[in-house]
Amino acid sequence: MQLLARLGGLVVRLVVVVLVVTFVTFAMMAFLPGDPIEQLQPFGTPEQHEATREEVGLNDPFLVQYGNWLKDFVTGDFGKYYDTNISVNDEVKEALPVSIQLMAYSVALTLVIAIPLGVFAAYKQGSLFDRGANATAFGFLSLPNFVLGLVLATWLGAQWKVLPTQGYVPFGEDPVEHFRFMVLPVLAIAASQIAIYMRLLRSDMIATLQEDFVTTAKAKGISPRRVLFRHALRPSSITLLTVAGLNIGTLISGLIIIEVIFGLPGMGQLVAFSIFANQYLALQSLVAIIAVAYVLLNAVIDVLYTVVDPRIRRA
Amino acid sequence: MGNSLAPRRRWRKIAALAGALALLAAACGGDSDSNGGGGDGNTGESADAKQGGEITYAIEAETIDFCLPESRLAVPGIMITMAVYDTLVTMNGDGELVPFLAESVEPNEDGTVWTITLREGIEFHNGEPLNADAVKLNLDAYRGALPEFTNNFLLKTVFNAPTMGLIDGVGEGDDLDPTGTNRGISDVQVVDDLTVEITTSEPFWTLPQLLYATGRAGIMAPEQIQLRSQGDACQTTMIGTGPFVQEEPGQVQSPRLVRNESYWREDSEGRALPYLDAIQFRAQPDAVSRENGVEGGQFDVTHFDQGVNIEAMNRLADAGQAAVHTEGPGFREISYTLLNNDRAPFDNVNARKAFFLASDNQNIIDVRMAGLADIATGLYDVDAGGYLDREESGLPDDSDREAALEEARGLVQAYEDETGQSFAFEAQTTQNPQNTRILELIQENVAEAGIDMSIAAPIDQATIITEAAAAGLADSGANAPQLFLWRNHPGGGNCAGQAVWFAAGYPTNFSIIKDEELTAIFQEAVSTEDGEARDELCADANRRINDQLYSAWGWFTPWTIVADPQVNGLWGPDLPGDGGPPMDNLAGLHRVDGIWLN
Repeated sequence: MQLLARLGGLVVRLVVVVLVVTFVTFAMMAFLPGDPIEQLQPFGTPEQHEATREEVGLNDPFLVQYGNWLKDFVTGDFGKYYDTNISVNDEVKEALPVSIQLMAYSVALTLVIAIPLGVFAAYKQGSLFDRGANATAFGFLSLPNFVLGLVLATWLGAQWKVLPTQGYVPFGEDPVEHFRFMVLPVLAIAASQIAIYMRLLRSDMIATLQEDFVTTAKAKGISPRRVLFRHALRPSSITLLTVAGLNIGTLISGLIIIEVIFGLPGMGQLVAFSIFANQYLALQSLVAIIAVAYVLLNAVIDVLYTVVDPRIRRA
Repeated sequence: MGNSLAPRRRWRKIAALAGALALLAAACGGDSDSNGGGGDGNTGESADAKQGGEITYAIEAETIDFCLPESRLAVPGIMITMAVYDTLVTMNGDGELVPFLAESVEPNEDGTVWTITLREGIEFHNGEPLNADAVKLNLDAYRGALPEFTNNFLLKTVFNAPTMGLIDGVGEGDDLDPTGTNRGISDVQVVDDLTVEITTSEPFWTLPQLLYATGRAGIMAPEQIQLRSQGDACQTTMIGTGPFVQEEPGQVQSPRLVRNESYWREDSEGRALPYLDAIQFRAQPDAVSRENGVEGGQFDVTHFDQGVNIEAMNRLADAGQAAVHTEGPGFREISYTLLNNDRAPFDNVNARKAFFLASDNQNIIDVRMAGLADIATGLYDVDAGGYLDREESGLPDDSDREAALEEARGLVQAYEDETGQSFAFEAQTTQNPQNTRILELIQENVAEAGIDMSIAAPIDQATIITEAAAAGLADSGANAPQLFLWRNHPGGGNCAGQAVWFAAGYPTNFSIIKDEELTAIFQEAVSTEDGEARDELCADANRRINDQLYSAWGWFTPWTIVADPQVNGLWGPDLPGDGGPPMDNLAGLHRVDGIWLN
C-alpha cells in the first residue's frame, strides 16, 4: 500500500514537472522573434509558407499546438529536425546511451573515491591528510569542469598522449577502447563532484562519530573499519543523497560542454547542435527528455533514502 | 582505536596495484611520437602510394542537408560533398576549370550554346549510369526547373541570371520563374546518351564556373533527385559518382564514407583510386579540441582558418608531429565584414569609409590572426583576374592609425550631421568564439572613432546565409543584419563569376548593393570571352567596389590543412586528360581521392 502510494506520488511529480518544463520551454520558443517557416523555406512563395504553416500546425492556437506536441511526445514521437528528415527519436536512441554511460561512470567514480576519502578525512579530522584533502577539494570545487576538461585533454591527451581526447567507442565494439575514451571526460566531470561529496560526507561523519551509538559500538570492541563503514556511514549518507539528487541538474548541464570538448556523440552534443542550428522543435523534445530523466533519477534517490535509512521507510 | 584502518601490508598491495594499473594505462596509451616516424606528408601523387587504411577527418561543423540544389554548404559540407560526388568540371592548380566528369565542355562562338560531352562507363554508387539524362535532371534541379525543389537557393538564381536580371526588370512579378524564361539558361537538352546541350539567352561565359561552384555542384544520381518529390530523404541519402560512398544511408552527421570500389579514376600507374578504405568525417566545432585531436592522434586531417590555431599547428609541425599546409597567395578567399548597403548606417558611403578606416585590419591580423594573414586589397587575390595591389586598389590609406582615426572621426561627424542619427549598429557572426573575439576587437577599434558597435547573439552559419539571401531576394536590407563577419570569394576560374555577389537584384547580393555602374561592368565581364579584356573589367569592378567601400575588406583567409605526417597525397594525382595537377587547398577544400597512408 505504502509502495503504491510512493509510486503514485512519483508519477504525479513526474507529470507535473514534465508539464511545467515543457510548457515553459514551448512558450519561450513560441515567442521567439522570427518566423520558423521562413527559416524552413526562405525562398518559398507566400502560398507555400501558408501551406507549410498549416501542415506543421502553426496556425493552430498556442494551447492546441502545445497539446499536439505533448501528445506526440508522450507517445514517443519526438519530431524531426526542421527542414530535414532526421528523426529526433533516432538521434536520441544513439545519443542517450552515451550520456547515460558518461553519467553513470562519473557517479560511480565519484562515489568510489569520495566515500573512502570523506570517511577517512572525518576519522582523521585535523590531521595532515584531512587538511590536504580539504585543500584539494577546495581547488577542484573552484575549477569549472570544462576548464579541467581542456587541461586534461591538452596534457594527458595531446601532449603526453596517455589517453585519447576525441571520439567514442561503443562498449560492445571494444570494451578496453571504450573505457580509454571515457576516462578523460569522466575525470573532468567527476573531479568537482568528488570534492563536493567528500566534504559533505566528512562533515556528516564528524557529527555522527560523536553520537552515543558510535561510542557504544567502540566500547563493544567493534573494529574501527566496521564502526566507520557499517555503523557511521549509513546515517551520514542522507545529506549526500540529497545533494546527489540536486546535483543531477549540474551533472546534466556539464554533459553539454564536456561532450562537445571530447567529441562524445551524446545528448549534450545533440542539445548543442540543436541550439547552434536553431532547431527549436528538436530542442524542445530534448529538453523534455532531460526533464523526465531528472525526475526519474530523483525518484531513484528517493528510493535510496529508504534503503539507507529504514526509519524513513517505516515512516 | 588505532591510527590505521588496515594492516600496512594491505596498503602496500593497493599501492602496487595502482602502480601496475598506471603502467598498464601508459602502455595502452594513445599514439605516441612513433607515429611521426612515417611519411613526410607528401601531397601529390607518389609511386609509394599504398592501398588501404582509414583516416578521421575533423571538420569545423555539421551539415545535415545534402540535397545539393537546396543545401547551404560551407567548407565542412563541401569537403563531404567532394568525397561523394563529382562535378562536371573541376579546378586545376593553375586556377583553370577543366573537364572532370565531362570529357569536354565546348561553347559556341558567342557563348550561348554549351555542349557537354560526358565520359563513358561511369556509374553512380547505386549502379545507375552517368548519362545525359542524369545530367539534364541535375541541371534542371539546379536551375529551378524542377518544381519539387522549393528551397533551391544559390545555384538556382546564379544558374539562371548571368546578366543579373535586374536590368531587365527582375523583382517584378514572379522572378523565380522555374522555367527561367527571363534568365540566362533557356534550355537544357539531351542530344545523345553522353551529350547535353545548354542554351542560354545571352552569352554566358561564366557557365563553367557554375558547373563547379567550388565543389557544390555535384552530380547526383537520379534516384537521389527523385527522392525530393517524396519528402526530405534527398537531404540524407547521398548517391554520387565520387570516390567514396555513404556507408549508412540516412547518416549524414559525421558520416563514415567507404571506398567506391568502382570509381572511374586511376592514378598514372593504373592503380584504382581512391587508395583509402574509408574516411570518417567528424564534426568538432571547438578549434582547441581539434588541435588536441590532431596532437593526440585521434584526427588525421583537419582544417583551420584562425591564426591562433595555425600558430599552434606550426609549432606541432616544427616538432615533426604534423604536416601543415597553409594556402598561399593566389586564389585565397577573403575574411571581411559584410556591410548591409541598404540599411543605415552603411547605406551611407561616409559611414562605410569611417568604419573601414577605424577597423584597423592590421591590428586584427596581429592580435587575432597571430600575424599570419595578409591584408586584402580587394575582391581578388594575386593570381586571380582583376587583382589590384594596395596602390592600385583605391582603398583609403589606413596605414597610419592616428591619421586614419582622425579621418574616421571626421567622417562619423559628417554622417551624423547629414543624417541626424548617431553612428550605431549591431554586428553579427556565427557561434565560433574566435569570430566573436574578432568582432570584439573591431568593436574596441571603431569605438575610438566614436562608432557604437554592439554585438548580437551568435547564430549558426546557415541562418546567416538564409537571412542574407532573403534580403537579397527581397532586394531590401531592411530586415537583414547591418554587418556580419564573413568569408567568401575564393578565386580561380572566371573572375566574372564573382558578379553574383555584387550585381544588383541577385539574392546572392548579400550586401544589397544597388549600383548600376558596377552591375554594368560585371554584365560586360560575364559576356566577354577574351580573358585579358575580362580581367580588365574585373579590375574595374574591383576598383568600383573599393571606391564605394561596399565591403570592408579584411584579410586573405589563411586556410590551413593540418595532417598527420603519415597522411600523404592530400591534393591527389593529376586530373584526367590534360587537366594537370589539381587545385590544392582552395579555401580549405581539396580532393580526397589521392590520400594514402604511409
